[in-house]
Amino acid sequence: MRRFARFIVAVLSCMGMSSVQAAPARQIPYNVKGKISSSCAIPQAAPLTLSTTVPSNGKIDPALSNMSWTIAGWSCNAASRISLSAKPLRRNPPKTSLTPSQSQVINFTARASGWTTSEAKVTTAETNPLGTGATYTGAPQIQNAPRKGAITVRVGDFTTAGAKGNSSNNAKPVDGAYSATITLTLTPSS
Amino acid sequence: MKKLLMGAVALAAMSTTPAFAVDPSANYQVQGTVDAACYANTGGTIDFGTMSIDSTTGRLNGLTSASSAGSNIWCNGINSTLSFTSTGLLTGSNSSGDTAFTNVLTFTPSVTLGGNAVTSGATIGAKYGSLVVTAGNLSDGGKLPVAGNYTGLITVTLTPAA
Repeated sequence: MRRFARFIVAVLSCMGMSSVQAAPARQIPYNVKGKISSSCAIPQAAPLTLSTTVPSNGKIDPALSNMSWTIAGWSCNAASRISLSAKPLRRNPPKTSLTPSQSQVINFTARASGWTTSEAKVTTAETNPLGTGATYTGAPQIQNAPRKGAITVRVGDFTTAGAKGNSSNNAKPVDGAYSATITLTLTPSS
Repeated sequence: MKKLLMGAVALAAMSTTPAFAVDPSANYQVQGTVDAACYANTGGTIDFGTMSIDSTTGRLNGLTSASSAGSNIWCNGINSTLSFTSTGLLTGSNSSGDTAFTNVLTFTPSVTLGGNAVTSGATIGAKYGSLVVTAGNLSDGGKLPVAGNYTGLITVTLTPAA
C-alpha cells in the first residue's frame, strides 16, 4: 500500500513538471549623432613681396601688372563666400609731407581666382597722396558647394594717388619701400 | 460476581488493537518555473555634439569617442548572451561631388556592463548592471567632413537563456 501511494505521488509530480522557457531577446537601439559646423580651413601664407625700381620717367614699372601668387590648401566644407580687401601700397615708413606732384600711395586692383566662377576683386581708391591708411573691400563672390583647392591672387592696375599739378596725369611716386596689405576672406555662407 | 466478570470482558474488548493500520503520511513537492528573461530600458543616445574641425586642414581634430549614459539591465538566465551590431557609420545629411570631402564618418562600437568590457556575443550569464555603449575611433578616413548633421545606430541585443 505504501509503495502504491509513493508511485501515485511520483506520477503526479511528473505530470506537473514543465521545462524552463526563455523570453524573447531584447533589442536596445542607441542612436549615434553629431554635427559638423560649416567652416573654412585657411592655410598660413607667408608675406608676398614684389619689388621694382621706378625708372627715370617716374612711372611705375608695367611689369608689376598681373603679378600673381597661388596659395594652396584652402577648403570650405559648405557653401562659402570669398571677398578681398586691401590697403593701397604706401611708403613705409610714410613721409609726413611731400613735394607737390609727388605721391607715396599707389592704388591697385587685386583679384582672386580659382574659387568661384567670377573672380573676387578689390580696387583701392586712395586720393590723398600722403595716404590715410584706409581699407577697401570688394564685393563677395559665392561658391555654392564644398570646395578644396588653391586660390590665385593677382595684382595690377597700379596708379599713384593724387594728380601731377593741375594735369590729369598722376603724381610721381616718391622713392622708398612700399608695402600693402591684401586680405582674402573665406567664410561659410550657410 | 458474574456481573464483575462481564465488566472485565468489556474492558478487554475496549483495549483490543485493530489488526490492519494504514500509514497516514504523504510527500508533496512544491515546484514552479522561472523563465529566463532579460530587461533593458528603451535605449539611448550617443552624442558627439558639434564635432571639431581643424582650422588649417579641415579634418576632424576633436573627440574620437562618445558614450551613452549608463542604464541598468538584467538577465536571469545563466547562459544569457549580449551582442551588439552597428553599421559603424555616421552618415551626414549633406553630400559633395568633390572627392576631397566625405559625408560618412566611421566609428567602432563597444559596450561595458557593470564597468567591464563585453565583447559582442559573449555569455554574460545571470547579470545585473549598468550598460554603457560607446562609439569610438571616430574617423573621417583622411577626407574633409561636409558640414551637416550626422546620424548612426548601434543595436544591443540581450538574449535570455537558462
